[in-house]
Amino acid sequence: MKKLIALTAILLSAPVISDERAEIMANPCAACHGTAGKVENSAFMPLAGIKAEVFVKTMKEFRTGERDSTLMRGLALAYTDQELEAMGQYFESLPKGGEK
Amino acid sequence: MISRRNFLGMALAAGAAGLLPLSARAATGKVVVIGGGVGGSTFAKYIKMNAPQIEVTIIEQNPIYIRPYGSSEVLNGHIQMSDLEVSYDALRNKYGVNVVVDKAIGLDADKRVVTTASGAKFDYDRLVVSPGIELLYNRIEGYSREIAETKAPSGWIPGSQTALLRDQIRNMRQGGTFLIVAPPNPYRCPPGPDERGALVAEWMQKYNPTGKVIITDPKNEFVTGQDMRLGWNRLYGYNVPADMREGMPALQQHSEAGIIDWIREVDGGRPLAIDAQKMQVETEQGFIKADVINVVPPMRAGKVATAFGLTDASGWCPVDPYTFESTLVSKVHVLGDSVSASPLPKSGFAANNEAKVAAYAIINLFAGREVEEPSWENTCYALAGKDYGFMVIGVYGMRDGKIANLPRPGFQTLDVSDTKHRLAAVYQQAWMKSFTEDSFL
Repeated sequence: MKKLIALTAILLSAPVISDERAEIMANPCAACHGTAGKVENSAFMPLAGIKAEVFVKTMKEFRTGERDSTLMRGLALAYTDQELEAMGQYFESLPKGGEK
Repeated sequence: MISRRNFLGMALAAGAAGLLPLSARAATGKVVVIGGGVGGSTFAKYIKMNAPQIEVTIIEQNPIYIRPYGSSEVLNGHIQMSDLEVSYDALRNKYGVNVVVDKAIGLDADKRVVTTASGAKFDYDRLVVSPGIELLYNRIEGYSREIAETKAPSGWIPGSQTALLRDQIRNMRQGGTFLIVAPPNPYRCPPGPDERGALVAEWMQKYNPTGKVIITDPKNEFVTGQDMRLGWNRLYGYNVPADMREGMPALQQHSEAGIIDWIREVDGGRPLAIDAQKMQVETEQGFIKADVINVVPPMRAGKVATAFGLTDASGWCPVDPYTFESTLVSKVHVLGDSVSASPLPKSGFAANNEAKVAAYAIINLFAGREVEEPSWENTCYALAGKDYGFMVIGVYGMRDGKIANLPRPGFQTLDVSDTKHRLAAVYQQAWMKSFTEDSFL
């Protein structure tokens, strides 16, 4: 019962970002980082299969400048922590090789 | 460990549609796409990736796509015309899109049928129109399509005019003048005309060092203006106007006129007429004689959008931002440069992103589900030289029912190092490849 209450609290506290919404937010990334996070390009890293926590940490470091960037700082500043987490979960769920 | 994704998946009913991958949900229908540019092709690819059971036909006039983004690099020999070509083979063979080389000429929006020049008929459940731009050659006195194709090219839609312009620049006499007539807002590729000026100036430094580039402009500013002017100042001896220096890092003051000059509206830059015989352009501040004249004329939505009644008095197509469905004709969606979806710009990046939003929306509409909240970015690179790049950083979301710019810095700071400019130029080149792959391959 306690678990159920805790669960309900979590679900009610913040608007849930659906998987589809996360995917829609992550789709612009594909222009550089590849469709479904897969790219073979010396300049841009693939995002398919990246651990969500690594994605979120990296984006937060772009925000502060702790991690240097050209345009990633601007992008990272536009999304909320919750949105970054959702996008990170999406990229983590993508297979690294082969077709989606 | 249970991820948040799985946690929520278990917490909510297993059958909650919102948590299933798009491909797992029932959504069938028939979509016809007019125009196989960035908008139309990205749309078709993303529909087929997510819902392969949906039938998608692209009607496109040209068997091979010639990409406009990056096409000014043909003018200075960075790349060849053939480098602009993109095949439809992947859309056909990898994604199962029916790409038909034909021209859409008729729409029966009640019966939902498109007719083509060859006499074929295509019925649809949803029509997507992504025709790019129509150049309004006749809006400038003395200018016409014929003059653009023979004497004073535009090349804003790449093709034979691009090649003609490249040859004219190469064959120009030493010490000659290359004149760009910049367009009024809104237009495709906001930093484009001034980037083109920079690339030709760079070419001249090497091959025609006494030559000049003049940009005459009906506007007082353009997107990436500060970055571009700083690049011109550093690379081509351009002096930034006194009233535009505020907030800029230390500028060089050049005693002689540089290779490039930009004449703003306040300085009389508005073009009034073109005389292709005398090779001169009349502007509000006087006549400019030139050896090569490149005109980027005013523009509006692609012809088929106008013919099908999708444009309003502005010449562009109003749409619902959630679905990109026309607010004028039901079950017809419009994508890319033809759309008026400010603050989304008329860029390839925006067209690609609008296409993805529309693809997800149409899949949901076919399945009878609610359309998810959209989200967009626009990250465009521009060059002041082959090793000097910068960028636009746009992120957009829905606020109060409208597309809104989300708070973030829109550009790099102006004091970034030379290394950063070099890096941006590397990314610009890499983007040409990755962006084409995401849109077509």
